[in-house]
Amino acid sequence: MRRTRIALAGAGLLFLGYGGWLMVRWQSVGQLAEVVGWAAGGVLLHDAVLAPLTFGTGWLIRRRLPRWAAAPAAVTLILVGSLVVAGFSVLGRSHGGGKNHTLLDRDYPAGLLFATAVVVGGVAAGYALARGLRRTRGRLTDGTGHGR
Amino acid sequence: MTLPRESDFTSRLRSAAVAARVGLWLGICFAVAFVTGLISHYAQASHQLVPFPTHPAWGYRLTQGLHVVSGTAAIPLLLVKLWAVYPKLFQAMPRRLGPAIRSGLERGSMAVLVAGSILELAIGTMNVAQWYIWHFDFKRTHYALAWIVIGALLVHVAVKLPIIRSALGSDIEETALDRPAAVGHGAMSRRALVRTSWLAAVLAVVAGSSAAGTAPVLNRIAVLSARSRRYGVPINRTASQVGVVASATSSSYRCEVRHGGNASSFSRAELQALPQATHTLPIACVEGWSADGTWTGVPLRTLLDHVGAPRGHAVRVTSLQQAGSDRQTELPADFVDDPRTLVALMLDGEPLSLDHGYPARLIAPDRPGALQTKWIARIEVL
Repeated sequence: MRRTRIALAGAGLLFLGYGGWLMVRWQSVGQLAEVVGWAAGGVLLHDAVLAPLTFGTGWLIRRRLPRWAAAPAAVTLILVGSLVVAGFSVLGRSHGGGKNHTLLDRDYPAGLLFATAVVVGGVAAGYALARGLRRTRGRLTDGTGHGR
Repeated sequence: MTLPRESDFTSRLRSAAVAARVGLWLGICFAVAFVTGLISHYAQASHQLVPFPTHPAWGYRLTQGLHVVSGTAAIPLLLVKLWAVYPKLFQAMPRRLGPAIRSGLERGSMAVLVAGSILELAIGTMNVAQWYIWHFDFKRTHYALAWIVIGALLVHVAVKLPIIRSALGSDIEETALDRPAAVGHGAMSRRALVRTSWLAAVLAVVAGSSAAGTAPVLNRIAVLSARSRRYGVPINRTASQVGVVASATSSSYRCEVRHGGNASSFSRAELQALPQATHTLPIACVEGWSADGTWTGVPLRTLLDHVGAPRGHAVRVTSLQQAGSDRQTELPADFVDDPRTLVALMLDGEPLSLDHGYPARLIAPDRPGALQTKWIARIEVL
C-alpha cells in the first residue's frame, strides 16, 4: 500500500503543479484574483451558509418530527435540495435567453415545483408501501394474518 | 458566537463509512468528467499530433454528454460527501509542531480540493446556462482547474487510503472508524443515506442536465435543463447576437473557396446547383446537449476539387461574423476529406434558418458544435 500511496501522491502533485502553471500562464493577475475570490466564495457559501442550514434542518427533523416521519422528510429534503443546488444557474433566469429563444426556454420555478411534488409523492408512496409490506410480513410470521 | 467543536456533531451518519462510499462514486464521476473533458479539449486543439477521428460520428456527442452527466451527478454526491466530513473542519489542531505541520498540509490540500471542486462544478453548470458573470476565461479556467482538482483528489486519496480501504472493506454500519462523539442516531440508516445520495444524483441528471434532453422522453421531464428542445435543434449564438443578419441575407453573398492562387466564389444558388449530398449527423455542443439533423448540401471535397486542392490538407473556415472565438476554425485534413463533411444548405428538408447558419454552414461528423462554423464566408486550403 505504501508504494500505491507514494505513486498517487506523486501523480497528484504533478497534476496540481501542471494545473497551477496553466492557470498562471493563461490569465492576468486580475483574472487570477477573481478565480481565487470565486473559489473562496464557494467554500464560504457552503461552509458558513449551506452547512449550518443543513445542520439546523437535520436537528429539527430529529427533534421535532415524529419518528416515522423523520426518514421520509430527510430523503425528500436531500432530493429537493440537490435539485435546487444543481439548478442554481437556471432557477432565477426563466426565459432569459434574450434573442436566443432556444436557451433558458422554460419556467424553472414551476418545473422545480412539479419536481418537488413528484419527489414528495414518490417518497411518501415508497415509505407507505415499505411500511405496509413490513406489517403484512409481520402478520404472516405471527400467524395472525389470513395469508398462507 | 463561538465556533462549534468536532464533538458537537453527534450523528453517526457523519462517518468514514458514508464518506468513503459516496466519495468512491464522486471520484468515479470526477474521473469520467476529467477524461471526457480532456477529449473535448483535444478535439478543439488547433494542433493535434494524432488527428481527432471522424468515426464514429456520435463519438463527441457521447463523450461530451457523459462529461455533463457526470459533472451534474457529482453535485449531490459532493454535497453529501461534504456533509459527512463537515465535523472535521472543526477538529482541534495538534499542539506539537510535527503533527501540526502535517495536519496543516493535509488541511491545505483539502481546502484546494473542496474550493476547486465547488468552483469547477459551479462554473461548468453556469457555462451550460451561458451565465458569464466573471472576467476570467471560462474554457482556460475550467481546464486548468480540472488538473488542480484531480491532482488534489489524488493526494487526498493517497493520504486517506488506509481509512478508505478499511471503510469499504467492512460493513457500512461498523463503528470502528467512527468519531468518538458520533453515537447519535440519524434520521435514517447509513445505507439509506448512501442510496438516497445515488437517487439524488440520478434525479439531478434527469431533471437538470442539458444532456438528458437528448433522449426524446427525458427532454419533457428535464424541468431544470437550459434547453427544452421545443424549438427543434438548439442554437448557441443567433445571427443577430453576432451581427451577421445584413451580410447573411445580402444578395451579394458569396462563399469563397481558395487554394493558393486558385479561387472560386459561389452564390447560394450556385452552391445549390452543384451535386448535393444528404447525411444525418449529430450536432453536439460542449454544453452537453446534442441533436440529430438531416443535413443537405455540397460535400466540402467537391468544392475543394473546383480549385484543384489535393487531398490531405487542412482548411481554414471563416464566418461572416466579425468577432468571437468561433469566427475562424481550422478543419483537420481527415475531416476535410471525409465524404460526410458538408457545406450544408438545408436542415431537415428546409433551407437553413438564419440562426442555423444561412446561407451556408459547415457540418462534419464527430466534431464539437462550436467548431461547426455557421455563415461561411471563406474556405482556404492550408
